[in-house]
Amino acid sequence: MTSTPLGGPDTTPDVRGRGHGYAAHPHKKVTLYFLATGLLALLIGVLIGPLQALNYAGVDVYSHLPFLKSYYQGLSLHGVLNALVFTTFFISGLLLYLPCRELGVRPNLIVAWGAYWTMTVGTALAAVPLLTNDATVLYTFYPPLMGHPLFYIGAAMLVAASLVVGIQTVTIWWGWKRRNPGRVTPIVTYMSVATWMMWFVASLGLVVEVLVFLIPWSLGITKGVDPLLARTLFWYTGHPIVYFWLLPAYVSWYALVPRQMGGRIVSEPLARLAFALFLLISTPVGFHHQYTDPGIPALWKVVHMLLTFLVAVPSLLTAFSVAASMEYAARLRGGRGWIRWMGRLPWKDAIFTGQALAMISFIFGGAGGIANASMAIDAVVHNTAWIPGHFHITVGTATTLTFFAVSFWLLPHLTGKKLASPRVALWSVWFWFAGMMVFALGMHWEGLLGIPRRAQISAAGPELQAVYHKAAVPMALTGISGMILLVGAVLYFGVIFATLLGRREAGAQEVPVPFSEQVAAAGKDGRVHAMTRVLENLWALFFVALALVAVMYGPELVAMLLNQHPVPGARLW
Amino acid sequence: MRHDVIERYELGWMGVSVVLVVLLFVGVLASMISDTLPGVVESRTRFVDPAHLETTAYAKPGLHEENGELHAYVVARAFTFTPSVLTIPAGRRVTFHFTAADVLHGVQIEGSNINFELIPGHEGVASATFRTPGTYTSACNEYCGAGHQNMAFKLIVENAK
Ligand code: HEM
Ligand SMILES: [Cu+2]
Ligand SMILES: [Cu+2]
Repeated sequence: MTSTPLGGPDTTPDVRGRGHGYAAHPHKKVTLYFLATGLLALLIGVLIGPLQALNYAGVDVYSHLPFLKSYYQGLSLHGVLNALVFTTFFISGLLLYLPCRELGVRPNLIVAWGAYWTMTVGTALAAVPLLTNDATVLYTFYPPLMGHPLFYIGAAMLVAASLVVGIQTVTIWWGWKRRNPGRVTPIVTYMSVATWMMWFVASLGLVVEVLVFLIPWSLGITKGVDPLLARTLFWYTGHPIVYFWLLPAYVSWYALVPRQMGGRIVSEPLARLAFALFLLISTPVGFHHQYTDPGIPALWKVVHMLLTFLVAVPSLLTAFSVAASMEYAARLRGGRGWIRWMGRLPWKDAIFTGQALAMISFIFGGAGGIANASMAIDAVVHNTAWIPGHFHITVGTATTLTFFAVSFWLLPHLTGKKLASPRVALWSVWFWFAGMMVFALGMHWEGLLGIPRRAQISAAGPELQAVYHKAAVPMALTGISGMILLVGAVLYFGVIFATLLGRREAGAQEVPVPFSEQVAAAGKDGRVHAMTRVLENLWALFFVALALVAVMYGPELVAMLLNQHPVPGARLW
Repeated sequence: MRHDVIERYELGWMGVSVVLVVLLFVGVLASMISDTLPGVVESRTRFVDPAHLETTAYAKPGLHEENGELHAYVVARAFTFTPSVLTIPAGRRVTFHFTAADVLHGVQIEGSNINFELIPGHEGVASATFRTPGTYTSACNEYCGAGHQNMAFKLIVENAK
């Protein structure tokens, strides 16, 4: 058995030795392309990171770089490639492939490849103005700063393609439901579909912002854009997008890691509850990015603050479940004591260790998120170095390091090639984790001292330099962390390239997809947990999520749309 | 470990989380009401035309006394604040009004909890009393273009003469 007894997992192994090796599962190839393209984007984005870390250590290397015209061009590339391109590609590959394998369904390959190429061409189009310094607007591209139209068009294609993959996954699930009336959706598919549905609700803001406002404006068809309206639409998507990055990591932590450490899922119904809650309340919280924006009534900010606090609950559930399944696995492996059982976990395995370290980083990242949710704290940390400190231990570690660990089994699984060096892989995750912890310490600390984010502080004039001097210690930490991270990145990408360029093993056994079993063998006697039954109605949850958004965003958005104050664009870089 | 036992604990944990989170929310509200967060109540949604600031109170940036109250008007424009140095008396309540004329800017006034995202067409308004004389220097904290890192705002708090 490779999965929950309720699913119908596709366990046909691919036979190696002849041909390309995709015989039984041709969707492996498109998945591999999604993952590899995403990782390539990450490689470029990540290599700029250490230069930024040096800037935050007061060292300006930008005047000597032939390939970047400015700090801000580099920062635009870093944000777009890491946070938007890498994540979207990787997630599209992962959350299409896993449900297909779990349900034993082949996706329509024309659609999947169509989405892949749309995404790739979109990224290439957006990359052109980024590389020519014509879209140095950072990854938030707030108007009135106006980038080249290709930037917005490419971004729109990226998002549209991800939606196609989402619709494809939901369609596959729905087909399975209709062929299997009365059966409960297996856990990984459930989580994936909930994530995609959340993304459908969440992406609306960005889609409207880019298609209705930014593209016509950058093409000169309209004269201006209301900057507050654009910001509001951006953050409508900008908060839940972090759950779009995080939930795929949760899928792995909940449903794959238990098996990878030799255990099982301890409480499946609550795992479903966590994902259902994310579907419901990920989106109507975006005003927490606009606490300091004039023009939005305080009452709405307070309402979104309450919901932001509540969206911590499913993450706290995840922390409990994941920790419990770790303990369960460790005790099965002979672990004893209150704490000592932790030593029994497979710490020599980069696949487990990478994800365990990602989880640890998220304890701090999540706690920081709860702190940031407070309007009062936000006034202290908004637009300071604290914020990048926060999201490098959430998306930059919880998500990214989990994806690193996933790539250690998934790339061998997809290609039939062995992971080049498990030892170097293990070193790479430790370096990344250590680097990001030091980074977070330095940046959070700087933020509390009022050091602004998104600023080439190393090139500031003497007056501001004197002010920044008070942060000399944390700034040094940021600089050091950048070097640790550079080593981590070189090790990681070294292993990945060595693996991908390595030779395919003839006749090798396929690395299995680690779908976990659950402790409670639900359904054995035909009984299904009552909560699971209720939560199975994903469509109902989806419509409730839409309704919630309409209530929480509707009044302000309608007021802004009816009362627009467009401002002309400007290019100030 | 039995799954129903784990589930019971987990539901208990969820209950505890919800209570904690609601308490946090109440705590933050209490703190905001007790004036740790200037500007929450004052921020209005009045439109200030960035193309015609000369027809608004921002026509004469700087400190003004209006009906016995001190009001400071500051305009952010790439890549300077006008005025870039603002002198106010120590111990008197000052209402700060900030707006942006071209693109987004931002300001966090050192030594206070005032932190504004400056958006063309909108004004951040907050009152604060600075009691300690000194110079408080802040940099623009929202990316606004090539000169962003050198866009500084200096607040000088002086003892009343
Ligand atoms: C070698 C590893 C990395 C280093 C040293 C690094 C360093 C930095 C630094 C110093 C900043 C702040 C720049 C500023 O505010 O001016 C930054 C911003 C950022 N980083 Fe990273 N980073 C790394 C990896 C990542 C990863 C893996 C992600 C996401 C998956 C990421 C996403 C971002 C984003 C979204 C920003 C904000 C850009 C903006 O404010 O416009 N970074 N990074
Ligand atoms: Cu958020
Ligand atoms: Cu600026």
